[in-house]
Amino acid sequence: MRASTQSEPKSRRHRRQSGATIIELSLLLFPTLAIVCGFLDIGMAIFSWTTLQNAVREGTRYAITYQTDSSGHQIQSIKDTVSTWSMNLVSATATASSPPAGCTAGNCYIKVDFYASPTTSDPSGVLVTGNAGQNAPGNIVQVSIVNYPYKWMAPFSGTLAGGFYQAPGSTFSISVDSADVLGGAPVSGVPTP
Amino acid sequence: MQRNPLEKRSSFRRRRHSQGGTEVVEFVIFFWLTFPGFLWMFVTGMNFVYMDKVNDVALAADLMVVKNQDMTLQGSQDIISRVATGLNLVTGSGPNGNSGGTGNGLLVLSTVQYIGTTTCTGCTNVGKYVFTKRIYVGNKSLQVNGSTVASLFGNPASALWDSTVSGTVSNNQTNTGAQTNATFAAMYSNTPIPDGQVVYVVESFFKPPFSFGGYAGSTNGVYVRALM
Repeated sequence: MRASTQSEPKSRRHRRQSGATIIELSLLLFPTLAIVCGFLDIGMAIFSWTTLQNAVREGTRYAITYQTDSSGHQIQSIKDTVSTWSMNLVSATATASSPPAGCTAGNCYIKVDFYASPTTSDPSGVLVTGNAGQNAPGNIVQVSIVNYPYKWMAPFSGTLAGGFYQAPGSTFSISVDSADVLGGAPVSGVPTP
Repeated sequence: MQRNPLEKRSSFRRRRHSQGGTEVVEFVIFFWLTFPGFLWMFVTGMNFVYMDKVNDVALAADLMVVKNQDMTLQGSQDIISRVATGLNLVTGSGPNGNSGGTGNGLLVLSTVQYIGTTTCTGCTNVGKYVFTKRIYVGNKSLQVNGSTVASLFGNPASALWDSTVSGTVSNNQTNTGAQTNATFAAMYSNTPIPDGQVVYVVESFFKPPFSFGGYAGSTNGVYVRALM
């Protein structure tokens, strides 16, 4: 008898409180998830950016030493190096017109350009990629990753991508560059570009 | 004696009612403590990322200077501009920065020489570090935190510096206006630079990526230097 008189208001209170708990949870869950997903999203974007930046830096350091890998060609060797250092985020075989799966034309590829060393008579430092002697000592090599698409995981990170709302899976592009002056040619001579 | 359940319920309601105000106070205190913390973390984190990129730019510029690239030429500055993709470094040509005073970054390139007795006997600047060259790349009137940025190692006197063509500092062995300030000398106090040798210094200043009205240090710029 005593137990029944005590348990009745307790259960009623419990029922009443459970509604409040659900409201509290629903109010808290969305902002909490937003913050957590924001941390993850921005963290991953920054990780991708710094990884790609480091990859082109290593590619440039590799380029100025005139080393080549099994491909025997300097440009392909540089791309292989960049791809390895990027943890294969970008493909070494992709080109502007032939992007890897999931990318559109003009995206997700490694670009290696050579510029003539600027001089007083020609201060512009013209692009000589594709010309004879493009990788001659003293020229400038520029290694770039063009438009690597970072896909947002959550929709509410879209504010950083330009608009207030971006759907999950929408992308923003990361492009990174590095450059240096090509060093002295090795004893074996300048390798085939 | 057993309490009336109705009495118990009303006391519960009173407690809930009185706790309502406390929760608001707790929330306000919690919010005011955590929000600046989150903002500071965000600002500092983004500045670190920015610094990594600026570090690359400073290194690329210094490596080009070391390899005797003429950094007053437009083509050389264009290369640096491309390396600084996303940082809004507006370059031009010549030693005096871009002509419009635009952009969010400035690179100060200095060549510093130690004048010993072998280099010059009886000169005014013997035993001193002097500027032999100074080139500005980017926005020379860049302001960070409300003041125009300046090299931490001082500036050569304007009368000695060729600000239009080469950026060279004349009379650097005999004129005290070519000397660096004490900060530079202090850096090399333990292992001084050998007589006549030079150090290529690149100092880079960039505006911060985000500015929340100066909140949580968000107007502090990024400064990175490279010495070779």
